[in-house]
Amino acid sequence: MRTIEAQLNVIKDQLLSVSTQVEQLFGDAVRAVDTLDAVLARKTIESDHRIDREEVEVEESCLQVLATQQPVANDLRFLVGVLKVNNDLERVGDLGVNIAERALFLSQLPRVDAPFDFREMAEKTRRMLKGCLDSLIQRDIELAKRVLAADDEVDAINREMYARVYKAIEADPARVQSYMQYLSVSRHLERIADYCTNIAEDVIYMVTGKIERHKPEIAVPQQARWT
Amino acid sequence: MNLTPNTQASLAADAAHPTVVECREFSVYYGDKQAVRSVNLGFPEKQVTAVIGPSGCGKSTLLRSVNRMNDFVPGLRTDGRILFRGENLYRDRVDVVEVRKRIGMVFQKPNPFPKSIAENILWGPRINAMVARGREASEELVESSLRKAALWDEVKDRLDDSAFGLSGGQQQRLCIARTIAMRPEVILMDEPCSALDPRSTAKVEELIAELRQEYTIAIVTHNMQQAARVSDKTAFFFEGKLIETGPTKKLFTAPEQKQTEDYITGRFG
Repeated sequence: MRTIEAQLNVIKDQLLSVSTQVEQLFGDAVRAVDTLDAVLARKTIESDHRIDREEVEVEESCLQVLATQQPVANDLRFLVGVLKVNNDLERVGDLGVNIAERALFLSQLPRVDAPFDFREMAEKTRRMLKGCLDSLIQRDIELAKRVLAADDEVDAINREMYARVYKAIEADPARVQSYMQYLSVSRHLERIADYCTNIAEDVIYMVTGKIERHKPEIAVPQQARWT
Repeated sequence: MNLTPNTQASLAADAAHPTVVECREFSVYYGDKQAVRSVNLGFPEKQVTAVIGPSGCGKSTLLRSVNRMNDFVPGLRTDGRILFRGENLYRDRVDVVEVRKRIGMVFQKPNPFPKSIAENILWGPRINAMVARGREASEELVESSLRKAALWDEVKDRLDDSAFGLSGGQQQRLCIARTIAMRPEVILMDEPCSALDPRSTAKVEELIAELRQEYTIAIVTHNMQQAARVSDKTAFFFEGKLIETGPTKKLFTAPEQKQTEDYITGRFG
């Protein structure tokens, strides 16, 4: 096996480890909001340190190969893609931490019903996260395109949130603090979905060599959507 | 002639860089062995075209065919055409000396003449009566050629010293200056840096970038990074066939053919 191939395989494994942990962190953060479990929220916040550490390791590995192997073509696109995906995953981890922090806050406040369909939004975001990571591992551009299409739905829920929170606060001004926490959660989920689309775009680049950013017209057949 | 889409792409020229040299269905045989297989490839004006591929892929043979350098090889036979500004270089009664004046060549190993630095520059133009008599015209030609080859500052105080006293890198730049002195339109370079250290290589590469303003350049190189660094267009050859050609930045980031991908990423060759 070529030296570079062995090095790229190591990087693949490293990135896989980061992505598994980010998925886990995201799931825990969402559960912490759902159950208002302060212990789980604290554990989730803690778990981000390892992601941060491993993110740096992935970057160092990529830089080493870039410096010593002068990669081109597929190898080059893979490394550039990994550098970007790695960065985005770390940000998803941070946003997961933010969500867990909201859970911690909410657990200390009087309970209110979430002013939006939190579970639905969290589930759509989770599927986008899983979808973009699967598309990365399987180099599946069709799946990556479905992730891009799904982002609109999460955006739509987030947009509705403002109106709903506004109404909820009007109806019950005493609970404004709690509602503001939920508003944050919704915005963090929306940001995570955006990072998932970035990752999906990077997957398309890695596989095809085409840069698909800022192209809203990417055609996704209606029946290919997962909702 | 009916051309396939791929052929059209390999010959495509843009208005700013019209094709100067054009291989059309060009083949070369060494006896029974076909070294170059029906190649269609254009070299755009004032651009650097890199020709890459594993040893024995026919890239040097093709390059040497462009200025009829292969004429001396016994048993060699060609088929098809190479057009230089529209004229077939392989038609009957071509003035081969004139061809080599207009299409110069720099070889793998620096090969200065066993003469002084200045004499190396002047020898070709003198025997071709391309330089006016008198000291001034000669001095002017020596200086301008050496300046264009980015060698003037290093040798201006020892123009009468033997060229063999120069370093390998300087000798190679002298050979480039010698080629320039003939006022060619095209410069062919066959592995011009393979005998040079990294620093001399960097100098020659800088020089290629300079020369590109004025000359059409074709370079054969084993060094893929060099092809990526210096060229505008790259052509990949394998077993005598042109596998893929296109803008260098495209070929090295997202090649279309799997064979190209495998070769440039070091998976074979």
